[in-house]
Amino acid sequence: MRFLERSDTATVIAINETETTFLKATLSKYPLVTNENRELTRSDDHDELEEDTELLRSSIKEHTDQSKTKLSEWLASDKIFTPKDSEWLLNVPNEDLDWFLQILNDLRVGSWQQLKCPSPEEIQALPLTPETVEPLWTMELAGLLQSFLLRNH
Amino acid sequence: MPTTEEPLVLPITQAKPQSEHDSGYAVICWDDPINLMDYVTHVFQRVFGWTKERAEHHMMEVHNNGRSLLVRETLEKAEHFVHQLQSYNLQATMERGE
Repeated sequence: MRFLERSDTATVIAINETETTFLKATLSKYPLVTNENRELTRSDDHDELEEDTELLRSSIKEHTDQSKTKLSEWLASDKIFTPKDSEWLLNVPNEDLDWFLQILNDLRVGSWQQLKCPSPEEIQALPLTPETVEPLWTMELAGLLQSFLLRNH
Repeated sequence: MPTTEEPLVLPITQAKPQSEHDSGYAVICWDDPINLMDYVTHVFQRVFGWTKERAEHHMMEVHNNGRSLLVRETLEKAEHFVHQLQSYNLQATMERGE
């Protein structure tokens, strides 16, 4: 996977066949972040915010549902993944950049939650097991793509 | 470099009567070990329309001090910003009396 260019219309990233397959499978898992742990405040004396916390969760659930619908349409489009020689080009339109960053971040943070929120040092020490390999790869892939998309942004 | 687009707008919750609680809530972003620094800067720029320098300043506060007070607002506006920041999966809350 390598960054190719950022033009007036899109950011283009070259990815090989295996990465493309894994990326599409990873994106299909969206969303991964759990909603029920969201809180409006860390203070204990905000009883007046209980109802508002529920509104926060339902509002973000609605936002996530809309993003999931858009992601399905996006992946079905023949303009996002285009073949070139023996690899693929991922074309992220500039108008979708912020939205796609949110998708990738959900996958990254959700995978981290699946690993029980380890520190960076703990992540380095995690053994590769059937339980850890998928979230670790997802975190790595999503983080790498985020870095490409934020480059020169 | 692309221009900063309009901040994402989520549905605003129902109108609330003015009260003593509307005098000020601090919107705080807390540190976490997973969000990329460039991503946090990007989100601050999008949500608040800040310059990159100002966004980076608050991002570094979060990174170095564990938290940053981003803005102080009325209850409704503070909720609106927390909704937006959490939609990006930043650890943001609103606190009274900060």
